Amino acid sequence: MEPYIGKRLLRRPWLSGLSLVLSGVLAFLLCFLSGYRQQQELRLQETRESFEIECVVTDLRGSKSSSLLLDGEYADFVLAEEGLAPYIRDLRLVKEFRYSYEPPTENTAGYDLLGVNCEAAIPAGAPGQESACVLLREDFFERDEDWVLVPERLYRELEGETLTVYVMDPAAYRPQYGGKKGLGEISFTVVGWVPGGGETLYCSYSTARRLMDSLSGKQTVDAISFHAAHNDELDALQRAAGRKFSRVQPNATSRISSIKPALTVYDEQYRATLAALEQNIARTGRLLPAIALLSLGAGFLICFLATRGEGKSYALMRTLGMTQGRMLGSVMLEQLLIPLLISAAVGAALGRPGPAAVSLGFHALGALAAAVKHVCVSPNAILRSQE
Amino acid sequence: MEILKAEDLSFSYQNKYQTVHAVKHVSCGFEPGKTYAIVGKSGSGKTTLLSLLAGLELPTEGQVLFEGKSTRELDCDAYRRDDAAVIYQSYNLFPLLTAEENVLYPLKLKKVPRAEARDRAKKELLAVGIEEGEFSRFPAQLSGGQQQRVAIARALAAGNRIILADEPTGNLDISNGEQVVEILLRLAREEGRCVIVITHDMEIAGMMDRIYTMRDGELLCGE
Ligand SMILES: Nc1ncnc2c1ncn2[C@@H]1O[C@H](COP(=O)(O)OP(=O)(O)OP(=O)(O)O)[C@@H](O)[C@H]1O
Ligand SMILES: [Mg+2]
Repeated sequence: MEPYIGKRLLRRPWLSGLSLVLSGVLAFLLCFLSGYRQQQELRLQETRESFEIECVVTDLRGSKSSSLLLDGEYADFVLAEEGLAPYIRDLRLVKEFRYSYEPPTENTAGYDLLGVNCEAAIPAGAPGQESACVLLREDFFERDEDWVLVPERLYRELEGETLTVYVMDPAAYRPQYGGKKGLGEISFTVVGWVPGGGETLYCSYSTARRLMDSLSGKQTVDAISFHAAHNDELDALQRAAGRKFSRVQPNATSRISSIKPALTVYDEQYRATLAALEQNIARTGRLLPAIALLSLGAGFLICFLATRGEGKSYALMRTLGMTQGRMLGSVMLEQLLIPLLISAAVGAALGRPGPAAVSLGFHALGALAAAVKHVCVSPNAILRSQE
Repeated sequence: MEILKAEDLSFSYQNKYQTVHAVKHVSCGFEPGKTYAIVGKSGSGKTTLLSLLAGLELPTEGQVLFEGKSTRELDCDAYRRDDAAVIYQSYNLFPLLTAEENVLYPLKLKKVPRAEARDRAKKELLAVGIEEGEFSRFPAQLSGGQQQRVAIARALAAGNRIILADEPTGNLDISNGEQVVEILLRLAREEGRCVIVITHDMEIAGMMDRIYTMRDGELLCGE
């Protein structure tokens, strides 16, 4: 430790205070901003990896996404390895049937029975409701069994019992599909319930497939939606989808529109999020070097102010036998003691020792630049200055 | 036995336009326990000679020998720290340190243990007539004479055997000046130090054991 560094610092409270404030503020800014940048980079990566980009099959006009009554080949295409399977995840398939408790007549409209391939395919309930349905067991979707989810109200009566209904497949009444009578009776085990009122029932998609085989002899699907598997391969997904699906054409005639499905990729929010994050990162990327430069400037300024009037003191030190190297060390130590303590404190407080050290380093560089000139004094300067 | 010796010493300042031969072929010797005055007109080369003797400059020709070793080979920083103290006309003290801290400074450089250093500083400060109440004053709060005496006390405490003073009384009134000169004389007589003083004051020069006179960089032999 060089003699009296602490005392010299204390006896120049203004400069020491300035040094404390400037180096503290700049170290804080550097730590804070680099932390912010890191967090934004993390969010960017997270967004790229796991943002859920919703993709929905619609009619050609893009106005309808349910009751599409599409040929089963579309579902097959989405599921196939050589189709869309490599590009998608969280596939949701819905097949719509109608059901009634009595054999339907022309006057009874019946209610909806939806075949769904997963829990997510069940339309979400009211906002704030945690899940769309309550299953008594988790693996129902994998079970090859005719089960049904009923509205909450019905569940209290039917829990664990069997529900027998008449089911009708709308596909059977389409001229191009019709072949069978389209109506049948089926018994379900009641295994869970769906919150909210209404009469809609839900069964598994495998049950739906069996029903289609027996009722209309034709596999059809009414809603297809999924998430992009790899957000950075949206173009590949669109290209692959283009083999089977059109782009949305808002002006298409309603006749064509009902035959040809389109795929809508809802990526605006994803792209906006990416752009915002990238902009933040670029901005901090410009700010960080600016702050490092400010640290450099602060180091220079404070050291310049501190050493400016001290030329004679330095000459005196040399006269007293201090070597030039040791004197530079001594001046630098005096200049860096406060910034060292404050940036260590800031770095520890914000948990970012790296940027704190960088800020100190730049401060030191600036101080060195200012110190060198004053420290390279010849002791003779004192002898000369007196003449 | 001479502790410090100049042999055929020459020094010239070189600048863009001219070469100034400030010291020319000077030979002289300095013994411990003796006092020397260097006198001469302004510009005659006294200060230049002093900085050569202090190892602040290296001679262009000839050599300065300290205990037989040339300042060219000597570690001049160590030489000034341990052996030769320079006292200037003014500005001998660090303005941010108190009188006592100024005296302790070279002792800290030499890593003298704290307690011993304080004892030595106190003894030498008292010896040059600085009272204990003034130890904690800053240079700006001391008179010129007191400042010079603190500077002398620092040289004494550090144990420097050679004291090179460039017009140490130049800024002092007569009584303060006399006080400083007396201390310097006493140092040589009682403690065997070698004292070399540059002065314009012939009365002061007269009190020294030997006077060297310089003229145009040359040394005229004195009495
Ligand atoms: N840095 C320098 N560059 C060039 N010439 C110098 C320099 N310093 C001193 N000189 C010249 O060297 C000569 C001797 O100067 P020096 O300072 O040794 O004289 P001095 O006897 O101490 O004078 P004074 O009594 O005025 O202090 C002078 O002619 C001076 O002009
Ligand atoms: Mg001079």
